[in-house]
Amino acid sequence: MPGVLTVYRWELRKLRAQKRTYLGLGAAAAVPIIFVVALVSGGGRPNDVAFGRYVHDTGLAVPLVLLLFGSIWLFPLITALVAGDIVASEDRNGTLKMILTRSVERHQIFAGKALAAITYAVLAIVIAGGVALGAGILASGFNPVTTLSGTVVSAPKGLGLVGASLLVYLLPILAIACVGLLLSTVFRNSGAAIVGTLMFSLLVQLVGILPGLSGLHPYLLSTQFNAWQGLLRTPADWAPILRSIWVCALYGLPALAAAAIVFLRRDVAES
Amino acid sequence: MAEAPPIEVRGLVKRYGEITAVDEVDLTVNAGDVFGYLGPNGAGKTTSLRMMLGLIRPTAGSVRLFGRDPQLSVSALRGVAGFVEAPSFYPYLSGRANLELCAALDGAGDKQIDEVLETVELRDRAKDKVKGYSHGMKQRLGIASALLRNPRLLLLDEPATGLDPAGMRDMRELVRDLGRRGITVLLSSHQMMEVEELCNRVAIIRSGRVAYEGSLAELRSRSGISYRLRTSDDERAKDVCLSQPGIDDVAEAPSIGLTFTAADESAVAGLSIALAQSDIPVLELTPRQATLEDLFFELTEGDGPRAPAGDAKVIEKVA
Repeated sequence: MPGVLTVYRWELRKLRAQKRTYLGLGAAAAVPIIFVVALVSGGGRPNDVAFGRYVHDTGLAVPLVLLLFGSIWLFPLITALVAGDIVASEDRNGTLKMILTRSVERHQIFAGKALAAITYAVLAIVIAGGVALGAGILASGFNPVTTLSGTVVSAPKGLGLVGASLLVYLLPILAIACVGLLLSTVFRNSGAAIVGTLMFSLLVQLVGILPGLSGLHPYLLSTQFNAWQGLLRTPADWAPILRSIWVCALYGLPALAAAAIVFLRRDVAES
Repeated sequence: MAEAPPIEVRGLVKRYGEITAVDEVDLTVNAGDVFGYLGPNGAGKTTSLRMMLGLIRPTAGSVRLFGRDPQLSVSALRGVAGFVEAPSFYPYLSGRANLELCAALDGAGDKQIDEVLETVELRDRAKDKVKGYSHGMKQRLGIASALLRNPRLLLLDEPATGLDPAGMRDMRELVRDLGRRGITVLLSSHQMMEVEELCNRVAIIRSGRVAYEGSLAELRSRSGISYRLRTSDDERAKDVCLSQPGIDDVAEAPSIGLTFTAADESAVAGLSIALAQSDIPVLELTPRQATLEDLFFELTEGDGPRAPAGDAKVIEKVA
């Protein structure tokens, strides 16, 4: 019998057939290339961000700088592009009634869609990280990287740390994907859900820079975009990573549960 | 044990706040029926169908498809297919890819796709994206996607709406053919001709309530035969009609003359004698069988027909 895997496979096929899919993934690939081209042609370096001063010394620093810049709006937007659209587009096309009257249960359809939205977000980060790494190595070489503690780690170990950093970076991205899914399910309108998800991400960042709210900072989603920096210390600081796991779960899981409940219980009437 | 009927609806209610879209609907569709679900726009037909397919939750009442509750699990739709409103597809996928998706979600292979595309005459356009399809082609693709499920029961919501005359004819032929194949069909429509042509039983719904459920033949027999009368002096003829026993519902009809209903043929014979005795020459006196359209308007706009005979039931007069 068909199940979650069938729905998931078809969600991926539907994504492959839509232009917006390539818009997001194209941006994920283009931004690091533009960044590296600017570095090479301009010769400057973003000294005021972590690892910015090393971008001409090692290509391994490039994806790390990109993670810092990308957290403001690029990766939340790319994530929202699909997460905010994946249910709402069914309302727009009127296709929800079609898929809900076949032989898969609603919870299976929801699970397949959630998995597809998460896959897309992961793919965007992998592409951005991979392209940044490739372009960075081409421009600055595959050289040892200096950690935030000032110690120098070999290039192969640095590569492993970059990979692990991307994994940790995925935690807040997945939480944003869950928020996008919720808004997509509730609003039934792709534009509103995508913009709403991005607005949510920006608002959390705004709270992070408001004076007098520093006590909240460790628990803001925006702060979790920096948790990976714990890996780039000697010895590794696991505290921000562990906190990121539960803080992101605190944002993501209720949103995901609420989206599932709305999806399972909603009337599929006129869009 | 006898199998449960394809559709059994009892006390079905759907309210949206203060608005009652479907109000205590009872309905039974038997195996082999091509059942017309008739009503004006906004009467509650589509909402009923959505509840039958498990797309929306009833406020009260129950739906059983072959004895199974579609609200509990999609497995209740085994052997059931159809669409509500216009069938919808992914515009960026081809017609064939849309059908492949449907087949995948049904756990079926792709073997049948060519066959159903052939049935709805879309094989030549199967590789084109659905966004380039006409309304009629989408309707036919909707039927194709329903046929993929090898249904024993088809629920079709106004399948001919928006089609040109040729498309309507083809769609009717298709539904007729499905009926001949033994598929039970519930055909929601507001087109009288379509229902009259295709259906053996009907339910007429008005303001969310079933005003009539039964066979077309019973509905017609109940309404009786009306007559039209044209004379050289319709004004005097009307007075004669009004005074004649067994002649009712006398009315003037522009360009026709007079219309009336008669209790039986002897009352009509008595009227013709009375007209002759009053020196009123009769130019035309012809019986006129009520069409489904007449009955539809009588039920949905008037006070409803007289008490039924047989199994058919006029549910109530709707205020």
